[in-house]
Parts: sequence; C-alpha cells; structure tokens
Amino acid sequence: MGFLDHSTNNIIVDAVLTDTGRQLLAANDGSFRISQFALGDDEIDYGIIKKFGRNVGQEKIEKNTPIMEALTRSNLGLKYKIVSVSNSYLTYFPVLEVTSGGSAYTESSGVLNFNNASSDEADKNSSMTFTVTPKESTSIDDDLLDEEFFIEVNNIFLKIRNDSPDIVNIDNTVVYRVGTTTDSSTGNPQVIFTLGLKGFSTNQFNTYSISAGTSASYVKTFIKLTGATSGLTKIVEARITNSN
Amino acid sequence: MATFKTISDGNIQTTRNVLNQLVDFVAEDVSGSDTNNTRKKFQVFVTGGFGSSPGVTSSLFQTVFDQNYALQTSNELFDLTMGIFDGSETAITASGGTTITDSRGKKLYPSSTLMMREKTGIYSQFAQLLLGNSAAQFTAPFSMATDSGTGAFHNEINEALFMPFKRLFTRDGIKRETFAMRFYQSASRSAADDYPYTTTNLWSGISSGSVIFTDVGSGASIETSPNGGGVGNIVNSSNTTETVGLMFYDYGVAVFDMKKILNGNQTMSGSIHAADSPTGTTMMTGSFIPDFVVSASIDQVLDHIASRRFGSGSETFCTFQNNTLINSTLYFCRATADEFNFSSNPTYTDTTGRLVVIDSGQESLQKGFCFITTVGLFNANEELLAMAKLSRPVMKNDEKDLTFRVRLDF
Repeated sequence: MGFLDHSTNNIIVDAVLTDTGRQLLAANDGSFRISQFALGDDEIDYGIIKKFGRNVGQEKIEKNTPIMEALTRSNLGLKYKIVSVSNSYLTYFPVLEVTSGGSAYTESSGVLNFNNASSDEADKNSSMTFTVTPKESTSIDDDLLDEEFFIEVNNIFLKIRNDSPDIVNIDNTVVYRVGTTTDSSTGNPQVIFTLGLKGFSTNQFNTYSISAGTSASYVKTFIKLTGATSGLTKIVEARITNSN
Repeated sequence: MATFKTISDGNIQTTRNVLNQLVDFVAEDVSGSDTNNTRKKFQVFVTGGFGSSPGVTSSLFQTVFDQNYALQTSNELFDLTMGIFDGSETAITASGGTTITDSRGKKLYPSSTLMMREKTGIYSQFAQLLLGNSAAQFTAPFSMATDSGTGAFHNEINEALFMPFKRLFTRDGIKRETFAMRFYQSASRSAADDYPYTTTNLWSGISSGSVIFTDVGSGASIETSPNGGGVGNIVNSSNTTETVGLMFYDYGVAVFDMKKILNGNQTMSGSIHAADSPTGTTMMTGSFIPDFVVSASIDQVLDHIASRRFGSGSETFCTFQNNTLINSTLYFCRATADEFNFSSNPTYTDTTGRLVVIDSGQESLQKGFCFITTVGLFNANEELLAMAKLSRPVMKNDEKDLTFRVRLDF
C-alpha cells in the first residue's frame, strides 16, 4: 500500500504484476514493455456526492472508502478509467446504447438470446450496433470521441465474425478491438459488428449452463464494450440455449 | 487517448536496493531426535560385507529441516557434512602411515577405517568449488602468510565441518559480520568414569564448553576468494585472534576446523559402525581426532556433532542476516492539472449522462473532479501488465497536478 507525501504531491505506490504481465515477462521476447499508464476509481461511489453534497461528500469518499488490494487479473483490475477532458466545465457524458441487436436481441430486457440447436442462422448470429449518443447536448466533446472500442466476449461460446481476438485473457475471455464508424444521420460514433456462436460441445455447454426451472437450461455470459478514448462502458447479457 | 497517457523514457528509472532478513535456527531442529524427524539422512553409501559383517550404510551429508521433513510445509535449513584433507596427517595415519594406492591411483585404507575416500572426496569437492582447486587446502585465517600455529592450532584445516546453508535463507548471500553460532566444545560422560570407560560420550552425556563462533571483524578486512566469492574468517568470540573457520558469503557455506572447534584430544567412547565386525558395530575408545573421524561413518560423525554439539533446546543456536537484492523500476506517472479530471465510473453520471458531482444550477461555476484509487501500467497494446493501489482515494481536479511514483520490484 502507498502513502501520501502532501508536500510534493508525490505518491509512492508498489505495483504487482498481473497475469498478463507475468506471461509476457516469461515469454522473454521483449513483449513486456510498459509504455503507458491509466488511472482508475473502481471503488468510488459518486452517488455519495449527490447524497451529501460536494464538500461533505468529498470528505466521506476520502475518509470512508476503503481501497481493495491490487488484483492480478488483468481484465478485472482496472474497470473504470479516469478520463482526460480539456473542457473543465463539462457537465454531461455521452451514453453508449444498443441501437440495433438483430432478432436475437430483446430490447426490453436488454438480453441477447442465442440458440445453438436452431437451424435458423438468425438465432446463432446477431448484427449489433452500439451508438454513442449525447443525451442532453447536441454534440460530443472532441476528447470523448472514440476511434475504437474494446469488446470482451466469452471465448468458448462467442466470437465476432470476420475478426480475430487482439487480447486473450486467462479466464476464457478475449478482447476484440473494433473501429468506429459515423452514424450517417446523427454524425455520432457507432460500432458495428456481428456476434455469433462458436462451435462448442455438449459437454462444454453442460459444464457452463445453469438450470432455468421448466425452461431450457442456458449459458449466461456477457459482452462488454469499453471506449478506448472515452472509457464509456456497456454490458449486454447473452443467454445461449442448446435445444429446440 | 483520453484514458491512457504515454510514459516517456525520462519517467522510467531503475534502482537496486538490498533487503536484509534476520535468520535464526533452533537447536532442537539440528539435534533432530527420532521423534521430531528434523534431520534427514540420505543413506547412499553402502559397503560390502567383510567376512560375516553385514556392512555399513551411511549418508554423505545430512539435511536439517525446520520441522518434520515428512510434512510438506517443512523447509530445508542447511546441510551438514564433514571432510578430511587428503594430504593430512590424519589421512596418512589412517592408511597405516604409508599411503598405499592401487594400480589406478586409488588410495587404499585398512578395514578398521570407514569412508576415508568419501571423506577426502567431500573435502576435495568443497576445495574445488570454493578454492578453485580440488587439491587445495582450506586455511583459517583465509589469507595465511605463514603457519605460526602449534599443536591443534595450525592454520591448515585438515578435518573440516561443512555447513552449506540453503538458498531459501541465504538468498543473494550472507551479510558480513552477522554470523554467530553457539557450539559445545566438549562432550563429557555422564558420570565420573575412568578407563576402561563403561559409559558413552558419543551418544549421551553432558555437553559443555559453550562458545560462540562469529565472523566479527570480517567487514573491516574484506577478503575475496577468486573462485568462492566473498570470504571472511570465523573466530571465537571470546578470543578473536583464534580463527576457527571460514564463511563463504556468496555461496553461503561455513567451513569449520574441527580440530579447533572441538576438543579434538578428548577421549570418545561408544558404539560405532564397523565394516569388519560380524555385528556391523564395534566399541571404540579414542580421541575425537583422528580416531573417531577416521573410524566412524560420516553419518555417525554428523550424528554426534548434530545431537551433542549444538544443544537440543528451543533456543537459537545459529543466526545470520542475508542479502536480498531487489531490482526496482520506478514509473513516474504524471497527471497534469488538465488531465484525468473526469471518470468513466458508472456512478459518475446519471441515466441521462449528467455528471453527479456538479450541483444542479451550478454548471457554469462548478467543475468536475474525480477520485483516483488505482494506477494501471499498460503496454502499447493496452494490456494491463501491472497495477498499483493507493491507500486511500486521492481527489483530482484541474487545480491539482499529481505524480504517482509506481515501483515495480523484480
């Protein structure tokens, strides 16, 4: 754990290698090269500011928020990044939304439903569009315009069609880096990709599936999008069944 | 990018520090009674039977553990072995006063001796490792101008006790002037007992003559062996002019002159292994040096020293500090006033994307801020390679610049 030197604003902290760090160090091929940093605030609940006001809220966060020890899982260690925006008076962030999910996507519940046993390809694939939308203002600050998104999916059951993973995590998840396009009507950034089922065995399905009472058992997994620039995140649940 | 910031080469520094850990060993671990099983034998030496003798089995060394070695949680502390210099008077006397060799140069010893070739072989092995020459002889002091010693206090080490400490405890070497070991120089019989002795002082009796051996002064006169690294003299703490052994700091090996640390002339008696006895054992009565070290197996010499000379209680008998080199890379992660002032934390905004840290109606007066709890270090592919946590949240706004000095140890 670190300690604070208020006189210099210099904070000393001890770092731990993540699983990926150790893997690349062991590879001994020069791939272990730290070249950039990011800051995070995973433990902070900013709702406290809203409840107690800026002054008391700040103090409560500083004094009453215990910090967890460093996690060595690279895909879980730093979930919410601190963002640099040159506009100090920024009051709104854009919102990342699912604007199209194909027939497999149920908008009301926000769940993707795939069926591996179906003969209909629409039950096995879903063309998805996520759009960054400014809710209360007309434009998105330039510093929050994403050029690409990180899309993390379960590597046993799902894949992004016509793409290959850029990062393979040790917990059967992979990350694809997908570039954004511009919505022709609104000019907002959007990311479009086709998510599909991978070939998997019945044994694999049985291992990871959960019982759903009288309904067919299903595998519950998640698709997580993170903006490389804005840090905006969106998590969509996917349910995979294996029976008609 | 708005969430990542490149670390320039000037903000990456490497350093090296030394950490010293205090190590101490408990006497009862080395005395290793039959019930606690803390001293392990590796009986790889087996003689053939001589006549009707069943032969002798013995280890070449024994290993001391910190608890029952059958337990998975046990740690090896150090090894214990002994050796005799091939050209020593002890070795020549053991061969009957005249060195006899076979046609291939192998030395032959009478059947009344035991493991002489193994004892000289172990001495040669350590000499080769630490002195660079298997035929060389250890001396204490290490740098010996002239041998001015007399009697038992010659500087050449003829009968050596070797204690190689395990790497788990020596780490990157033993720190100079931190070694100390308590040792009992005498092992008396339990009662007044004149010749012919009826009780044994090899396996029971009273240990006495407690002395402390230490490497005090080795830091003031730093010596180096060309093949064994740093070396220092081990002396008797009550008389520091009396050098009794050597400590090879980089190898973590202590070499003791048994003639100096023990009362070598003391008469020892008890049952020992014998290759030429129909029972496999014989009663011996004679001095520790040369009679006992020549006639007994390595296991029995070590058994006697371990069980009777280091004590047997729960107190510490040996201690030193090790050196652990820690190589660190320091990454200076600098967040300037206009950087890292907003958060992508889902609680930072409401459902409309509005920042919850800005009071309603104060949009033109209040600026955003955030709290930092984590520093992540990434490669160019945005893979998280290392991470550090702060002890408490640190507020960041556009009136503050912060530098996080992140240390990664190797």
